[in-house]
Amino acid sequence: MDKGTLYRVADIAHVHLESREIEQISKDMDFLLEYFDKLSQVDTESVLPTVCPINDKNVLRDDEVWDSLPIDEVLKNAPDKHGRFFRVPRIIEE
Amino acid sequence: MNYETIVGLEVHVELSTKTKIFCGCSTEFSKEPNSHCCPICLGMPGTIPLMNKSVVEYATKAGLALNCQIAEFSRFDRKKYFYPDLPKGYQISQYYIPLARNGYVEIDSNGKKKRIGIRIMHMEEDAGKLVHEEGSSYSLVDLDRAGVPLIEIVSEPDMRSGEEAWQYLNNLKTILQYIEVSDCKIEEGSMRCDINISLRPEGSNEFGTKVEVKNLGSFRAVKRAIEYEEKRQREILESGGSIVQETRRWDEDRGITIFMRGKVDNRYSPEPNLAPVIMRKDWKDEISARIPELPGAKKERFIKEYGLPEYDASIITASKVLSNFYEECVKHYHDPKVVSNWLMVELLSILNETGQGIEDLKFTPKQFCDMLAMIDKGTISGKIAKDVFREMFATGKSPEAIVEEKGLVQISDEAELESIAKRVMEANPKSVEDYKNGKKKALGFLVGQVMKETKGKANPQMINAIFSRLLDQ
Ligand SMILES: [Zn+2]
Repeated sequence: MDKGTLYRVADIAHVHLESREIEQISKDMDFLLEYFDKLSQVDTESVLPTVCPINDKNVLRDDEVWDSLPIDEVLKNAPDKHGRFFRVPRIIEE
Repeated sequence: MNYETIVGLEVHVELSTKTKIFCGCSTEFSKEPNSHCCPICLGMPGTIPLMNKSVVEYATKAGLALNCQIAEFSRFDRKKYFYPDLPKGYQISQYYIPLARNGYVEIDSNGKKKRIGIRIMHMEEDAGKLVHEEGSSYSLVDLDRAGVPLIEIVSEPDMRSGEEAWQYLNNLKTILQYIEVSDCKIEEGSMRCDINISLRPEGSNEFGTKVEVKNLGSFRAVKRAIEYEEKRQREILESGGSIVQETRRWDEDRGITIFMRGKVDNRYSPEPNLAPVIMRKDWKDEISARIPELPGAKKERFIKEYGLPEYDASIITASKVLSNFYEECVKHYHDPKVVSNWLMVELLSILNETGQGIEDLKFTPKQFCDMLAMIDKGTISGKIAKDVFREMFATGKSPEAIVEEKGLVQISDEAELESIAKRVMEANPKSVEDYKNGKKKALGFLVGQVMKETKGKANPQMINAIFSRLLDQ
């Protein structure tokens, strides 16, 4: 995948890429795309689109409260926090 | 040119299940931010949503109560957008195959019944909450609300005024409260409403360009925003301009709508991590059997069964708890209209004053009816009864105990009343003279004096009769 396309994809996905990562990811993407190419060669004319492998029964959970995470676990991976909150750059009011 | 206003509403309602839609975190209001979070509702990579059975049942119940067709097969999709209150970068919702379609809510339009169509009703998850700090370049994120179950109810563009929209919202709210799927408190955010509004020349069948209005904090705001937009759009059209499809926000303080953003197209894709929802007939029937008599039907019944005027019936049935209380009272008291008068005037005003709900009442329907019977028997006057009622409301004591304790028993002793009347006449010769000279109003003054002397306990019919007799001699 050329760098221009890769940057565009990263931008749409809101993923920040370091320039040193570009080379490797570009190769990985090529491999993935090849794989999808192979998939699209399969004849699926008579196959209905499958969204989820389970299609004919319910998979449901009872409405019972479980223990939520302690606050330090909740905020553990946050790049920034303030008290018990996650902190993010201010979004300009739409 | 005359224009017709076309209004459709999108209403989001939080379901009152115990846990979130895709995880077991509590939906209860939390005192401290981020108390009800787990890897699923935090959107951690690798987690899989676990569908809450009660959400399917609550949503189906709502769909049925709103006269919708329930899909035997429905599915979830991802609505993709970036905003910090949405940890996964997409909201799980039902877009391609929703749970319910083609329902309606009945409203009253100029004395006639009118059906407001419901195009779609589906399940989805709520987002978190952003707190903007004044003067700071940061926002704070609380994800306790992220994953709380919602139903979205999309109406057809069937409303023609702010008044009709207001009625639709009220009736929708009452129905959802009756079936106990949500508390529908718009002020607390458990019911939210967006408006779609356009104008078209009267007689036209085509729709004009619509504008979306957000940030409505009350039903009244919805009505005001519609009336404002009507005027704004008419002025644009009349001056030869055209309406731009956009989203505007309601500014409550200024009473106007303000441009917020242009048209956006959200991107959707199916959610592969959730099995579809299969709603077979037996399960649907089971849910349907749990739907109580709905407000519309109850109102009709109250009019027929208790002979109530339509106005009384609407007010009493607007709340399930109030209508239940009413029906209990009617079992213990012979005149349904007297009961509705008391509840509508005395009870509703004291609830209003104190901010309490009917569910917090300290007295029982039976005790309330005992008080009404005391008026009928002449033990207390109607005026004193209002004081007794307030005391019952405050303390939960029985009316007999209150009357006893405070010495409120009505004076119905003929001889005693007559001697008081005579005393009053002696003390007020001028009024007596006025009355005899044809000033019938003077009687009211004299009765008032007796009431003052007896602290309101004199039997009013008797004292009137006594005065008439004494004065007309
Ligand atoms: Zn959770």
